[in-house]
Amino acid sequence: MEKVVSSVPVEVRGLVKRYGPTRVVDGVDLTVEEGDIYGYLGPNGAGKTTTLRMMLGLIRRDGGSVKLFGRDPAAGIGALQHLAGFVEAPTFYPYLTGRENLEFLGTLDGGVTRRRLDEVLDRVGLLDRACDRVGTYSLGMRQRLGIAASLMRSPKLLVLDEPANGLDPAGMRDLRALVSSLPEQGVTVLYSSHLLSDVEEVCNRVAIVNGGKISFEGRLDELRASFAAPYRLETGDDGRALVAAKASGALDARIENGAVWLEASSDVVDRLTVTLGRAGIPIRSLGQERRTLEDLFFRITEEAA
Amino acid sequence: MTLIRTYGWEARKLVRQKRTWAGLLAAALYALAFVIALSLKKHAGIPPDLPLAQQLTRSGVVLPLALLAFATFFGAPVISALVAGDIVATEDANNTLKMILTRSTGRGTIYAAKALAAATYGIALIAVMFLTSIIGSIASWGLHGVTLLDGRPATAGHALALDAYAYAAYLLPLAVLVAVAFFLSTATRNSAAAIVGTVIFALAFQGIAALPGLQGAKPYLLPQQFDAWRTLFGDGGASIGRAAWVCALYSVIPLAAGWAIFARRDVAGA
Repeated sequence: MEKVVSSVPVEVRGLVKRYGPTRVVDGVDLTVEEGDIYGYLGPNGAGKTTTLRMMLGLIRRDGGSVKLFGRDPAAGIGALQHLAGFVEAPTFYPYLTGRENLEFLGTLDGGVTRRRLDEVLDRVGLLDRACDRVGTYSLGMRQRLGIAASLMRSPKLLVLDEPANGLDPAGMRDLRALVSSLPEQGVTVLYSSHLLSDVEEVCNRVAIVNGGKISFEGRLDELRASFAAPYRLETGDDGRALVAAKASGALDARIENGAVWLEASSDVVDRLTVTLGRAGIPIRSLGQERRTLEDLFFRITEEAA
Repeated sequence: MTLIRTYGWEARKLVRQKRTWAGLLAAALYALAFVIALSLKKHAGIPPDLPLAQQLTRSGVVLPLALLAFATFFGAPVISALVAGDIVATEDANNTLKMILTRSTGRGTIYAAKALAAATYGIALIAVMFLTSIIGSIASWGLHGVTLLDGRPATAGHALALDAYAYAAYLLPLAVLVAVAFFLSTATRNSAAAIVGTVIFALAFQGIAALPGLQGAKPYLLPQQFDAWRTLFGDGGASIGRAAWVCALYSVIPLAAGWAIFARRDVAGA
């Protein structure tokens, strides 16, 4: 087993990949800290998968650096020693059984015991189908086998690219539970997905890539804080409340769906409630809406576009 | 150890693929068809310069030699390329390279294991052709001794051993075809292109060998190496040593070129 030369699972700096004149990855910086479940998001063609391929040493980069636990994957497979996962869909030999596929991969990793195989197959719910040819597996089963193949290496960093593809609702629930439990076992997860609700549920940090560039990288709560959520105000007289809101200094105020919506700081909202009280306008409810990751994602990617 | 284990799995993967068995079955049918055709037509179609050609109907050990001579022009390139030309390309077709190249075994070991598995297939192919032809031929004409080209008598057992040696010697030029198919499989990522390319390569060499003014180079051209086994039957196998190093050279070049591509290739998937 190669020693770990840095505790930081992923450090990507200024990563560039060109196809002809197009820079599909254009100066990407990423830092995945130990214990993170790191969501990597972006619209189709944003450069997510290309970045992951460069990280895994599958394609050569045209610029920048990648360090996995301090080691460069372009320098050899030693850098992948503590990493497992898959890019795009996991792929297997259709004419071999699920167990044989894992045995083969285990051989490439230096050997695997039958007990370990049973453990990982059981963990993904494939133990009873392990002796069937992978050609007979559904997409979801192949996905689960891909996760088993990754866990088999006992990695410190797990890279999952669209792991929920093909999973049924129960499978997705199990996947989320599995991923959420991994940091407790010392596994850092890099989770690339277009299912924003999944990312929101399991990830603590995210990066949003768009047009080959990182539009945001940080904690989810920082992302939410960077885009103030609107306040929803219900009053006895929305028309007068709207006038008062605008006069109080709200950045934006409008009546929509039977309520007044405010884009404003908390100070402005405080002043507004006093103003409404003095004006005799009853306040029925006031609350700040929670921005979903989807709202933020579209705001970031569409603003950039 | 990793190379041996990885090779073991590559061989196992071949065993589990229909294409491998189709190739071996094709080799067996090819040999069997040859035996049946010659049983029916006796000497018809046997090249007169074939060692022991006149003794074809006297002993079952002669027909496998005729098969070797025939296979050089028809069959060997296609059947050998069928699997060797697929062994890397199929990883591209199934998108499995990206999976195996992110494990703990380097590209060099994987490439070497695949090359060894392709070579093993070549050996299996020749073994099937030999066994099918010898069994069919002995069933037709019996197992008897023969007279070698230098007039020395050879017992049935000795003649059988010479046959086996001839087939082993035939493996040398066949290894070149396997190496070329393997290279094309790596370079084109397409099984069909690798098979067709190997056939074109073999035919091109036949054409080059037929060009006038190449007498000095002829002993070093590929078609000559396919005939090296003939010297076992009267010349003590004099050409086999040369065939060994010439074929080694012809094999190393495509293997090295394939490695240069495989080591640096981007694995982008579908």
